[in-house]
Amino acid sequence: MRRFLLMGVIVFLALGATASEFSITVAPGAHLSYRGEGKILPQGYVNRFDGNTAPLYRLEWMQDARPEGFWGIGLWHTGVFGGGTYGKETLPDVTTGGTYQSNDLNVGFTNLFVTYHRPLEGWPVEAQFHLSVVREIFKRKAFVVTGTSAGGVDDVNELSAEGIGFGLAGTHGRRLYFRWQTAAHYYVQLFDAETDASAGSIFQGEAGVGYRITPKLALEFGGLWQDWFILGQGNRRLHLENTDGAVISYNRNQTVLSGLFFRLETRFGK
Amino acid sequence: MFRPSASLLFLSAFIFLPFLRAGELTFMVLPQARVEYEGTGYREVPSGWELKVKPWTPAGGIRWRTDFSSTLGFQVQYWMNRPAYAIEFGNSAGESSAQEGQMRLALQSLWVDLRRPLAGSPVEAVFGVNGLYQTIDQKDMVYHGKPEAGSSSETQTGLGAHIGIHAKGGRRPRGQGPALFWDGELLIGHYFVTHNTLTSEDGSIHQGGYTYNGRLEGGLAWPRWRLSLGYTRQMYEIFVPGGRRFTPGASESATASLPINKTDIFGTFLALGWTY
Repeated sequence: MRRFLLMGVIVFLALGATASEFSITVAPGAHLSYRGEGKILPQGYVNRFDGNTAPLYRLEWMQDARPEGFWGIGLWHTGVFGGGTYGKETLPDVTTGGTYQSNDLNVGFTNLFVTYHRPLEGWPVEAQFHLSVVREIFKRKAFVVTGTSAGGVDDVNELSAEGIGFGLAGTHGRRLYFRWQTAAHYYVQLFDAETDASAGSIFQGEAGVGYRITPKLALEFGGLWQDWFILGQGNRRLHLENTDGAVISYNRNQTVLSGLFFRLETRFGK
Repeated sequence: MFRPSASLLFLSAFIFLPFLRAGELTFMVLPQARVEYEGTGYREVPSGWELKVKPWTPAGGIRWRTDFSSTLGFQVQYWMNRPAYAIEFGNSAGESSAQEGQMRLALQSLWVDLRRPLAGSPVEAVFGVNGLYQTIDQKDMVYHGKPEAGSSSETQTGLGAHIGIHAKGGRRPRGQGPALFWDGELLIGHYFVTHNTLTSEDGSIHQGGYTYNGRLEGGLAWPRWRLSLGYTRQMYEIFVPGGRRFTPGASESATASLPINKTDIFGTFLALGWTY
C-alpha cells in the first residue's frame, strides 16, 4: 500500500511537470463517521462507532481546459497511513443487553477517479463524467470479546467497487474566486455480477474560496462532504478462542466524511 | 395504504401542462414491469436478514419537456406502478423462511430537472431534484410457522437531487414518411431527506439513500407525434429508521418495516409522444 501510494505520488508529480493543472488538497482534520448493519446473529445487526479523525489527501491532474473537453485524474486517500486516528467501535449484544465486542477502528479509503470534463454551453460551469475504482479499508485492533482481551491481534478488511458518476463544477472570479463541485456515483462489484452486482453509491460536494497568487499558483480554503454507501460480505469473524469470534465485516456500510481543506493549485505551460 | 386519489390528482396536473407552454408530452406504459423489493437491516425482533418480494405489475410514466431557450430545457417525469399483493419471502439464509406473507408495494417517483447542452455537442447535462413516495402493505403474515393477525402499512418518502446526461438522435424521413429517432438518458441521484412511518428506536443506518433512472427508446417520429419502444431501469434505495415489529409489543413477531430498502423497477415500455 505504501509503495503504491509512493509510486502514485511520483507519477502525479511527473505528470504535473508536463500537465496543465496539478493540485494537492489536504483536509487535515477530516472527520469520518461509519455505520454498519449486518446479520451478526445472534448478537444483533448493528455496530456503534465513535468516528475517527484522519487527514484526507487528494492529488489531481488535469489537462488544459478546452471547449471540446479534457481529461483529469484524481487520487483520494485517507487512513492510518498519513496520520489517521482510531475510534472506539462496539457491537451491542441483544441476547444479553450488554456489549459483545469492542475494538479500535480506523476507516480509510483509497479512491481513483478518471474524469472527462466538458463545459456547458454558455455557462461558467462544466459537466463531469467519472469512472472510478474505490477501495474502503477497515483497520481494527485491541479486540475485547465477551470481556476477554484478544491481546495483540489486529485485522485489515477491505471493500472495493467500480463505478460511473456524473458531476458539475464551476469556478467564478478571476484573482479572488469561488469554486464548487458536486458529483453522484453509482457502483457495482463485478465479482458479484451473478447474483446482484449493485454495490452502492458515493455523493460528493465541496466549495471553497481561493486567491490566485500568480497566474500559475492559487491557494484555496473550503469544505467538503462525502456520503458513501457500500455493500460487503458481512459477519466475517476473526477466530478467537472461547468466543463466537470477533466481527470484522458488515453487509451494509455507510461512511460520511467531512472537513475543511486547503488546496494548492499550480499550472504549467501556457 | 396506496392512495389512488393522490396519484390521480397528481397525474391530472400533467393534463394541464400543455396549456402552460409549448413542449412535448410523452406517455410510457410498461404492461409487465418487474418490481423487485429487498429489505435488509436491523429489526426489533431478530430474525434472518433479507425480506424480498418480486411481483410483475403494470407500470407507467409521463414525461413533459419544454424549452426555456435553445440552450435550456426543463423536464418533469413521473413514474408509478400499479400495485398488487404478491408473496413475500425471506429472513432466511439456506433455511426455511422465518417470515412469509403477502406484500403490496406501491411506488411513485417524480423527477424535475433542467437540461443544458455541453459546449459544441447535442448531449445535454441534466441536474435537478427528485422525490420518492413508496408504500409497503403487508397481510397474511406467518412467522416461524405461526400466523399473525392484522395488517401493516409502511410509508417511505425521500427527497434528493440528481445529475445525469441526456442524448437523442434521428434520421430524416425519405419523402413524406416518418423519421427514425432515438432518445436516452441516465440520471444518478442522492437522497438528502428521508422519512418513514413505522419507525423503530434502534438500528444504525437511518438516513440517506441513492437512486438511478435509465431510459433508452427508439421509434418513429412525425411532425407532432412519436411512437416508440423503449426500456427503462430504475433503482431506489432509501434508508429510514425502520425495523418495527408487525405486532406491537409481541416478543415473537414478523417485521413490518426495514431500515435499508432497495426497489428495482425495470421493463420494456411503449411510448406515445405529442409535440404541441
